[in-house]
Amino acid sequence: MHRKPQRQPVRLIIAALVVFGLAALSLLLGSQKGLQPQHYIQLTIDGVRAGSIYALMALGFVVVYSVTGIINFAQGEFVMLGAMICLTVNDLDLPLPPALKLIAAILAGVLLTTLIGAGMERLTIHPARRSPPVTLIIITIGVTITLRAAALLVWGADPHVLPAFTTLALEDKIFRFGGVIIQAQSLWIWGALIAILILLYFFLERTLLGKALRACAVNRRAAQLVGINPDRMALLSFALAAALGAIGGIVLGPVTRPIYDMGVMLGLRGFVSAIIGGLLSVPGVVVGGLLLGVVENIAAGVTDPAYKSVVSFIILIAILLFRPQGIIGGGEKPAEEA
Amino acid sequence: MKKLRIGPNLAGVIILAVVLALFGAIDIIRPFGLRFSDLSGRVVTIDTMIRIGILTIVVVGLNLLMGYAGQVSLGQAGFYALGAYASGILATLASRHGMLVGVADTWWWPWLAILIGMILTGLFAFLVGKPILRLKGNYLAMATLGLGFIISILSGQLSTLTGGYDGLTGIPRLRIGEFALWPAQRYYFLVWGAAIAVIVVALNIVHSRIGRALRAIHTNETAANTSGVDTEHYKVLALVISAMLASLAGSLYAHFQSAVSPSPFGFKASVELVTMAAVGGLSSIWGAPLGVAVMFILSNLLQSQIEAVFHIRGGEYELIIYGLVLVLIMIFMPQGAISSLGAWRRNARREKEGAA
Amino acid sequence: MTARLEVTNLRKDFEGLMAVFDVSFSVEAREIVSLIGPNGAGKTTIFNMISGILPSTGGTIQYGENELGGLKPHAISALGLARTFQNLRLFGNMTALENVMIGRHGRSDASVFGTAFRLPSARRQERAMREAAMRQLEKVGLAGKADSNALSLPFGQQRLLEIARALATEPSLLLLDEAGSGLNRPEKEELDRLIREIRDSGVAILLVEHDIPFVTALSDRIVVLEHGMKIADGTPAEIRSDERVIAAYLGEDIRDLC
Repeated sequence: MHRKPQRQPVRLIIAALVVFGLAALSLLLGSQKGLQPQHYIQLTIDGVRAGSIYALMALGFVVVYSVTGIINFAQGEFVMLGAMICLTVNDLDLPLPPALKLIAAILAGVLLTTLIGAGMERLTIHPARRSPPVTLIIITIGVTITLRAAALLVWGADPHVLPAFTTLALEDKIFRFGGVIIQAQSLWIWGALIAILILLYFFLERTLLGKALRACAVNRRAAQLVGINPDRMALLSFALAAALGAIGGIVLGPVTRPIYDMGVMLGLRGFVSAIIGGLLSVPGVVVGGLLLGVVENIAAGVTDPAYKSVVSFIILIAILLFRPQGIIGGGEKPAEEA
Repeated sequence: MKKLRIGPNLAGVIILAVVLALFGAIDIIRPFGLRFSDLSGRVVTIDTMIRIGILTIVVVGLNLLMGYAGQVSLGQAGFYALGAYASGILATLASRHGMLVGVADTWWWPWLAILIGMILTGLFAFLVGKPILRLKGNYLAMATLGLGFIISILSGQLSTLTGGYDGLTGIPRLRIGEFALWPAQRYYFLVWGAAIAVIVVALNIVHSRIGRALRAIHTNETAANTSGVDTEHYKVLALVISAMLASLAGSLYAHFQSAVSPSPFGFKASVELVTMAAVGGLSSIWGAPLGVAVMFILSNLLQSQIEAVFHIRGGEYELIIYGLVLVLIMIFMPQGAISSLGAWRRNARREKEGAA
Repeated sequence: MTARLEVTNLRKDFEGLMAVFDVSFSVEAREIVSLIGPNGAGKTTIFNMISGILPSTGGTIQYGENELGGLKPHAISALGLARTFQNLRLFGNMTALENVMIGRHGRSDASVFGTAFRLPSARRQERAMREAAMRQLEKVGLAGKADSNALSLPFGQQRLLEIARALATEPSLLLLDEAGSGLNRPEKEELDRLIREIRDSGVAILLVEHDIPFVTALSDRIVVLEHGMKIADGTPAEIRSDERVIAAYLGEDIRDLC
């Protein structure tokens, strides 16, 4: 608000210099490690894959935040639960062909996680809905660690496996383009993201329920005046976020080894993606997720994989400090800042 | 009026000190062959009490920051880690790196290291506090959380300095001249001496113009600011004090374990600290030791029960209890258990006065 | 210390929306000046800029020797400007006395070290703050409520408590934002008396007010705003006969109101 317009070009130049500098730095570091062009392509492709999952999670953050004003820390746990429930059902001894069993397992993972998300809203958020935002975020953190410890009790501390969708086996089909490798599961992940974006578009733009949800996100009180029940919309937003998270976890399952504590780190990256995109705009956070995935993967590739999460936290703090309205979403100020 | 205000706190400090001294004395004198842990059927040992004392120091700081100044920190374990590593690194300079021989192996060097750790951590908090505390609510929560994560990851990664994920070992016990503050029965007195001193100092701050300013910021930052309170300054001050206390506790922890590694200082630890503070009541200095004790003992009991029932060992099952307690407290008594009790008492008294 | 407040060409635009446009006026020492105007005229926005809560987008605010633009609210308070809020902003977790003691905060300097170890100087200051705050409570007639929770007081007393808190900062200019709204007739008369008393003790007063009769009886000068612009500035008598003011208050005949 107090920013003078004539300073905008200066900011752009600084931003461009930072981006250029970081790119030069990663090329320099990469050349010291002897990275070839195809390595960068590989890093980018893997980054886009990770970023697609972050984007799915960021969508979950946006749905909940825009409707309720809550940052739902448990978003990452929905991812974990989706993957874990899916692989558990898939391991059951059902008299079904493997492909049908996997489909049943996927449906079970999404549906059960959605129920858990809805239950979380009813049991923990609804009773405290008039509390200040900090209280609510602490509640979602409480839910997060409870779910995580419960998952530890149910599934143990060891990583699990989910078969690849294409081969229905642990070994996935692989496409090679020169030195670049693409797993078939990556295509499933991208397909899932695109399908969800299309479905979400139709849901929000074409259905009454979706329009009600959007109205609630724009102005809760006005929505209430035209007969939309904001409590029901809050419930719907958590259920929807849980479903998005579960789908992300399920398509991610075959490329990582799902483990009970995978949620927190993934959730944080989803949040960073959401904040890059300005927390309120769907296209913004999807681009945010993809961008984070790529930047993080290249940074880790040219330095050390262990620094992967440091990168996202540095991005998180830098954005919160310098551009809390997001890089891509732009303009829109989150309600609590206004 | 003024006597009334100081009275119960002073009495509380004296009672706490006497009771804790008696506990400690039991383990040293061993009347009828009794140990302190026998009092509770071996549930609460001197070791447990030392840990409770150390965490009390961190939680008192968190109370000042979250409860009084109203600034949330989900990365407090990061400051705790900085203190532990400052002591761990400085106190082992001579033995690990052969540096400062003749200085770094004297009895007073670890004490100086504790002080240096506090100053460095305070300085760090000051530098990050200025920009970070401009954020509010959710954003401040996520930024502090990120900060905690960065510290915890770096403490595992900067292995030449920190010993990596294996950590540092061989941290010497604290001594005063030739008198070693060890075994644990002796260390207990040091830890609780420090904890009580911290409680006294915090109570004094809370009941002064500074405590009032922090409470004013919590309720209405704008009104505090126009009434002459430099709100930015006091928010940073609260963060610096809480960070220095966390650093002190970290140092005490390092000398207690004689080792430090990244694992006890992660996200989990920050959430546990917030839970402990919330149980005791965020704006209650007295709630700190109580909240820590309740959560620590409860989660230990749960851990052993789970191990007995499910026949599994290790793991972070105790998080279930932290998570549930945190959710329940935030829903039903966001002011904390102790403060809620206090409010009931005040209400009851007010009703009685109304009737009279 | 008394000084003159000089507001020159003050502007505020909220992302293209002009809330205040080139407003100039002044408040002399020991003067009672009122800002009036319909809702949305920009009165509270001007208050927020003078007290440093909102940055202005143009113009200057000069207080005595000092330019207030860019100063933080607590620094402005230290220069001798104090304010109250239209929607009361008391500290609900404190007693009435503690609320007023917050006003004394900037007038003492006991350090963390001093308070943490209860050094004699810090204790002396604490005592002095308490006594000074008590005197302010007496001045507004709330001495008997010193230990009551601020929000347990009736609405009219909460208004007075906010004034006491503002007075505790030892202002030479007091900004009262709708100090009379929500008060009944006797409470308003009490407020009128209190404002005059404060002025007589050497404090200049700038009021934002809706109640025209109340304002005209009390003010030395009135500044009239409409849509963020100043349309008149003069004595109550001059304002009453100003054509533009009459037009601005169309529908409620200002001559009847006065």
